[in-house]
Order: sequence, then structure tokens, then C-alpha cells
Amino acid sequence: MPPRTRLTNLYSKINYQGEEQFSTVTIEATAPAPVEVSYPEPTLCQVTVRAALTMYPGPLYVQDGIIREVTLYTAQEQAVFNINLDEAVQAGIACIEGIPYRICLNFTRRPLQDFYQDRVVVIDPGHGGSDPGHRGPVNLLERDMAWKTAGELAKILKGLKARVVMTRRQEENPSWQERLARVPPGAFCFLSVHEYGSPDTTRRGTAVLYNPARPGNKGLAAAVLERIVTRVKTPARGTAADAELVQLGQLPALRIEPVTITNWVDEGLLRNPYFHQKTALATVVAIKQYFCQRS
Amino acid sequence: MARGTRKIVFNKIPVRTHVVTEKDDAISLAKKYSAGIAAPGDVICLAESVVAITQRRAILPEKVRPGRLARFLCRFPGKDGSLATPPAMQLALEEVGPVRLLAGCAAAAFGRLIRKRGLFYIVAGRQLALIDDIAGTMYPYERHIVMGPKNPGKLVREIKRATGAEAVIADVNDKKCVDILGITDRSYIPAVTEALKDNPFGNEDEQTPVVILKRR
Repeated sequence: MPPRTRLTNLYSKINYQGEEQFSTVTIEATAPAPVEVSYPEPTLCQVTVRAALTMYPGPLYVQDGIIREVTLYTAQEQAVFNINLDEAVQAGIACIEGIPYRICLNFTRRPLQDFYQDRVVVIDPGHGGSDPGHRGPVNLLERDMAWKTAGELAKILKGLKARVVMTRRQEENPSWQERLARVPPGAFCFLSVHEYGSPDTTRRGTAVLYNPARPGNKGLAAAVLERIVTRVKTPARGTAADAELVQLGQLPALRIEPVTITNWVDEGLLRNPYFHQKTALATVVAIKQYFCQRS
Repeated sequence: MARGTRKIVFNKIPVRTHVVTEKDDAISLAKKYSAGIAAPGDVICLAESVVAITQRRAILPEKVRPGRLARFLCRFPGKDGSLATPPAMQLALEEVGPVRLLAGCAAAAFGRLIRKRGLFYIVAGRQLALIDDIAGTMYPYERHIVMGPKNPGKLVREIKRATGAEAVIADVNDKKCVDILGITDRSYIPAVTEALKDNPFGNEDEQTPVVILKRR
């Protein structure tokens, strides 16, 4: 009797095929196994694989704007994967031969692209040029870290076909008024990226400040904060009104502070390039979901 | 045993595990996640940081009291390295002793003069290169300093006894650097190094600190 197929790994990634983006769930196995896919609900994709489970059966939190999480359980010599979706999209399935044998489920990210397409998003990386902003206990500067996160935001938004306007170049430090002057008419939102700094080096965490001139911005800030801290697992420092952002009038405007750079741990997080990607993706997803829920 | 002239080639099977904590032990971990997959001749690979965590070598920086020497010495290593904070340097001092660490510093200074890198670790000890400073390890250990594992050679032999398969403890990064800390059969080193180059343990959300190398 041949050895039974065992499921060994489960992961999710965003893949690009030309201009099209896909959220992919991949299930790995030691050998080919029969697969069935069904949709008990529009936002639930159920994948049943006839195989034994060797991998850990705990949930996989994805939260990429299309896939929320994947949970799994075993029943009658089968493993059942419940892929909980934020959007009612269906998967294209591809099975890739080899060891490991891969079952790939590709969900289009078109709902995100449809939302952001041609919207003008203004990204304001804080400080710059001769103004380094706060400094971490080892060596990182707020100016450079804000630039990195802003770059990831721009990359993700451009991938979703948004029109991105940056308020500064890498070596530049325009004044606040100059930055405001670069906001084009009809902009959809304004995202300023900073890091928090405190003389108390034990203070950690993420905060999102908002433009209080527009009533909905507080809720938007709360939604963005919740997504970021869930994704990067930093403590939340909360939301607050920001006096400078008032000058943007009715524009949805946020000042995002992903970490407190003056803390050792938070500064260390900034060294990880994935941290910037995750923060940016969480922000983009939270903004889309906030506006879609309101409409 | 892998002998003869035929080149050894492996298929890689990363195995998703639970979040490993100090309550786990590395042998049970290897046994549990290789059951029904690894056979004699295959290799069970464990990520060094996870082995260190099971050995209670993940330490919260607030539990370390850096002395003056640690505070002084941490100014000199590269800022993106693992000894740039006073707590990490203090743990390095405790690991190899101040004399050896200072000898390493002298060697590093000499290395700068003759433009040769890596002399610090050659003199002060390879185990210091295995220290992962704050935020160098994935959640929930991002607030910890994670030291290198103790006795990796002994541990891989015990894993082999428990599973029947060869065993490896390795430090791998995304720059294709593979450091084999313990291996049950040294003739596998080139093939294992080649197989682990693309870091199947992962460095981010991957939860695969166990990788099984199946012989083709």
C-alpha cells in the first residue's frame, strides 16, 4: 500500500500576472491528492483535500483585502480548508506536480483595483533632506523610514491603478505649505507618513492621526489603526485629531505613525523590509473597506 | 548513509508548525512534524532560532542589565548587525567572557587595517554570529534577543535516534548564506547547503521551521 498523502504547508501571497493581481492560497502535499472546491456562501470558499494532515491546523490570518483568513479541520480522512473572503470572488485552481505537490487557488484582486483605479492618492513622507526627524536608539532616522513606508504605499497603490502624488522627493524637505500646494484638486485622500518619538524610550506602538475638519475621518483613522496593529502586531497608541491636517479642509487625511522609533523594539521592526510592506498593505486595504462599508 | 559518487539531490518539504515556545522540545518537534514523511536517508532540518527558543535562549532585553563595557562596545559593530544594542552586547559578553570578546574586538580592529572582514567572530566565537537582536526573530519573539542553540551536534544525534532520519540544525538567511551548526552525516553537507540556500524556513510569515529534505 503506497504511503498516504500528507498535507505539509499552507501559505498565502499576492501574485502578479501582468497588470492583473491575485491573492493566492497554496496548499502543499507530499503527493497528488483529490481536491474539491465549493462555495457554501459567496464569501466562503471551501476546499476539501483527501489527505492526512501533518502540518499545524491553526488558522492562517491573511487580511490582504481579498482573503481574510484560512481555517482548517479534519473530518473522515479529509482536510477541509475554509477560506474566508472579504469579497465575493471565486478561485481559479492550478495543481502543480512535484514534491511538494501544490494546490494553488488564485483569487482575483479586481475589487481592490476597481476601487482605486484612477483615484488620486497623495502620499506625504514626513521630514526629508536636512531634517531627519526623530532618531532611533541605534541609528535609524524617521526621515528615511517614512520614505520607505511611503514607497511601499506608492508601489501598492500604483499596482491597483491609483494615481499617486508624492509631496517630496527622497532628498527634499519642502515646507508644510509647499506640501499642501502639491495636493491636486479632486484628490481622493492624503496620507502623511511619520514615526512617533518620545523621551520615554519604553513607549511603543502605532497611532493614526486624522483631519478633524471632516467628520468621517475619525472612523477612517480607527479602521486604519486596527488593520495595521492586527497585521504588524504592534501595540496601538490610538487615534487623535491633528491640527496641521485641518488645512486640508474636507479631504480625508491621515497621519500614520507606524511605530515609536525611539523605542529599541520598534526601531528594530523598521529594519525589516516586510514591516513596511505590511503597514502599507494594511493601510490601503483599510481605506478601501472603510469607504465601501460606508457606501 | 550517503556514500559513492552519485550526487545527492533533495526535494524540499517545508512543514508548517505551531508557534514554537520554550515549552516545546526540539526532538518531539522533529518527530511530530516528520512522522510519515521522513525515512532513513532523508534529512530533517531545524531552524537554529527555533531550537534556541526551545532551549530557553530567547531573552527579553529588559531582563538584561548591560554593564559599562557592553554599553561602550555596542557602539562599534555595524548598526544593522546583532550586537548594536547594549543588551545584546551584554549577552555576548556573558556567552564568551570579556577576555575573549575583547580579543575579538582587537582582531576586528586589526581586520579593518588589513581590510579583512569576519575576524571578530573567528576570535570571539562563532556563536556570537548566531545572536538575533531585538526584532530579528518573528512574532511572538520579536521583543527578544535570541541566542544561538546549545549543543547542536548532540541534539541532531538525538533526533536521528528518535526518527531514524538524518538531522541538521542550520542558520539560513535570505542572502543565501547557510551555516550548518549540527549534522549527523557530514557527507550530506554540500547537498544540504545547496537545498537550504533559498531559505525554505522563511524569514517572514512563513511558519516552517522544520524542512524535510527527501532524497530523489
